[in-house]
Amino acid sequence: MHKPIRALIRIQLKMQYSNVFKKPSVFLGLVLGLLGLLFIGLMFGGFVLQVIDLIYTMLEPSGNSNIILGALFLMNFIVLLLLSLTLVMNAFYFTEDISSFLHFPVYSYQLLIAKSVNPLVYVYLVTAGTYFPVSMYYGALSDAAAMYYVFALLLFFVIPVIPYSLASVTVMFVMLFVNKGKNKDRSKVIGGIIGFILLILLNVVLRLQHDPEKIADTIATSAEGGGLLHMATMYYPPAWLMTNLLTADSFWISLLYLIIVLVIASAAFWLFYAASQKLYLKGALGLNTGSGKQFNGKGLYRKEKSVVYAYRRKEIQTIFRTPTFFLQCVAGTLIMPVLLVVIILMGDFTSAASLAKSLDGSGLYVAILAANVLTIGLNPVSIVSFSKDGHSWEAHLFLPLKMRQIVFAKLQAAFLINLLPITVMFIAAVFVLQLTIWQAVLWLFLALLVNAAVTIIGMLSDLYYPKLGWTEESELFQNRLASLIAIVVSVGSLGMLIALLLLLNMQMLVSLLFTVLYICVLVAALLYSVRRLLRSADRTTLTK
Amino acid sequence: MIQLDHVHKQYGGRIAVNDIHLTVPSGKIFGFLGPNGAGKSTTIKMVTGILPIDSGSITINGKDISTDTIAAKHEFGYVPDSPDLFLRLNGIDYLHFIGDIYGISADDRTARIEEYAKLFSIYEALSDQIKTYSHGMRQKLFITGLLVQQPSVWILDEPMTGLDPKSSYQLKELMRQHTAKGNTVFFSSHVLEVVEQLCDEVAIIRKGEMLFHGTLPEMREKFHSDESLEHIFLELTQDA
Repeated sequence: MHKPIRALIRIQLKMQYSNVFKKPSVFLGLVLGLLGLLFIGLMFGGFVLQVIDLIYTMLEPSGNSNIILGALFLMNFIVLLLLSLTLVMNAFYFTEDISSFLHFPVYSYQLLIAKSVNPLVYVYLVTAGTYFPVSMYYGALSDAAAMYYVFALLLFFVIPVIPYSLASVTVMFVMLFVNKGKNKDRSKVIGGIIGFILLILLNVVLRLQHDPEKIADTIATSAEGGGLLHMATMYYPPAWLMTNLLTADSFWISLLYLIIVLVIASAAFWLFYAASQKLYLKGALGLNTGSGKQFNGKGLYRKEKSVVYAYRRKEIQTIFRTPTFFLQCVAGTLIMPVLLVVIILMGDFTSAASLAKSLDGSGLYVAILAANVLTIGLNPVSIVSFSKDGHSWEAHLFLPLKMRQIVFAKLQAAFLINLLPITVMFIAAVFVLQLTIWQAVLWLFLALLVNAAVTIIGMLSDLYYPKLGWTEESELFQNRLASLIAIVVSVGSLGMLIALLLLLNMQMLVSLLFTVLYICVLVAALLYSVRRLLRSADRTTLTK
Repeated sequence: MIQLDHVHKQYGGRIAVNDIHLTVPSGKIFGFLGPNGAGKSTTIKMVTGILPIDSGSITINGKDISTDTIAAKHEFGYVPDSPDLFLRLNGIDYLHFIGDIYGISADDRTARIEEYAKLFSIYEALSDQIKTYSHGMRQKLFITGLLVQQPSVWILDEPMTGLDPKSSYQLKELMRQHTAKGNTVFFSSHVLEVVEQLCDEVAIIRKGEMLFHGTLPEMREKFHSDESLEHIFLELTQDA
């Protein structure tokens, strides 16, 4: 029974991670990504520990300090549930290799256990990052005995089981109905957009309170009346059990709680098993089929177009029709403007407008420039210019296409797609910051300049470090050296401009002239590189 | 006409194609045969400009694929052995894309798309993404793309793979009609019966070396055999 599971797990792990240690670029990307996460963790970690310290000090005299652990288990449950929903959706239904496994003589639950390996790596990493610091810090604050740490360690392995199993069952149930339409791409996009909305909502929740003392006060007040603990118990009883497990005075009582927790986790796993056997295949079979609609002749006649126009159209169609590209390059980039609006609105709408008015000319100008750099500079659309062709790149080698035509069509496509976040950002800025016409025009002008520079940088980095041998589109957005270089060069070169503007503190008009000159020189230098590259272009280099 | 002049290609230290000298004349259906790994695909990829040539030269209708690349590529149409390209485009988008790349007028391409997509029974699926097509349907779509383009030289890598009998028959008829007009068809195949009934000339390649080039009667004469092409082919390539 376990033999097929082991074989399937081995294959999944090989497919996901065999390149990580073989390719230095992938490994470097991974290390830098982890360092980035560590940095963010340290930034937020300090804040969280400060809150815990305050709550503990307030509640310790009344013996209510265990609410910290209750809140931790509850928060962990919510975060892991949300994370698992997306991961499970992708791993079980949207990966390209789904149909490659369906004909094997294995049970659905065996297949899904193997397919869970990759999502569970992420789930356990997130659990480790959130659970260990808080539980260990709590242990230190409460002078816990060694047994506390042993039970805490055991709980680490159990915590993700319940949310992951519940998320899997939910996804399997939902996909039963989604599959009725058999449109994998549409469900993928809807799933992704729901993920983004959850992210924004999470941001709103986090922004509702950002003062550690206020948060501590709120939690302490709720805890005094048993409010929060009651809530945790009511909606997610395992949080109450796990809290008592760690804070019980007697070893035997702790052990009893552990057994109850393990029984609940086993029940959750059984649900996962039962749903896998009953629901999975019904939702997964047939996901790759076509629309079933017959071609009715619409679009049969089309006017002749230039090669660059046809190629640009193909580029944009590919991005909009491939869920991963659409989510990463279009929907994903719209998040930044929406988040910015949320941040501004959560602050205070009128004060945002008055802040914009209060900033002197050059201050507002630098803020506009920085906002544009962040919105456009992080969009990966040009960084996958060539890589997104994947295996289809071979067609470029036998079609009568000049490299110049390909490069300019790809640049135009990326530039045009970047206009979407620019437009959203522009509308948000005009209405929220209540910019004057002159400031709005300035915003658009700077955005277009930044867009030109960033698009060429992204395209060049992808040309030098393409990744054509992917099996799934999502690989293009994970641990890539090209992305890292493009973002560092884009944000670095334009960030340097911003630093110079702040340092020199010039008059508004002089700042503007300086910026135009700086970015024009940058774009000219980049275009010169592109021209030189085209002169010696050998398209076959991309197939090597 | 396709002319390969002492073409050589090697990967690392391994010779894939060794000094091949070959003329594929106009007005002929030319079959390119060889066991797996013989160098057929490498040769076809060099002819179509997908792989660079180490030494020698290749011209298509007199245009050199290495030096006059774009002009040479306008002379031929190519159907690859694995037609899994542009998977996110709809069938109709792909055909218009091909039409624009090769500069086919709107009226011509509309008429050709309608005629050939219906002939190969893929017309009704043209609004679906290529990704959802079966191997055979993809093959038919790429053949339709070739027919929309209507180049004088057809280069087809294993074109019958995945085709149903009706489509296979239609393609063979189209190949005959195309060469009857003085054009060239160069194709590789493992289906020896097809080669036997269709080809005016054949070339057999093994381990990068050309073993034979000529007509089928010439082959029988050379190898003193009245056996089928299959028998001669197996004899020639037995230690491959």
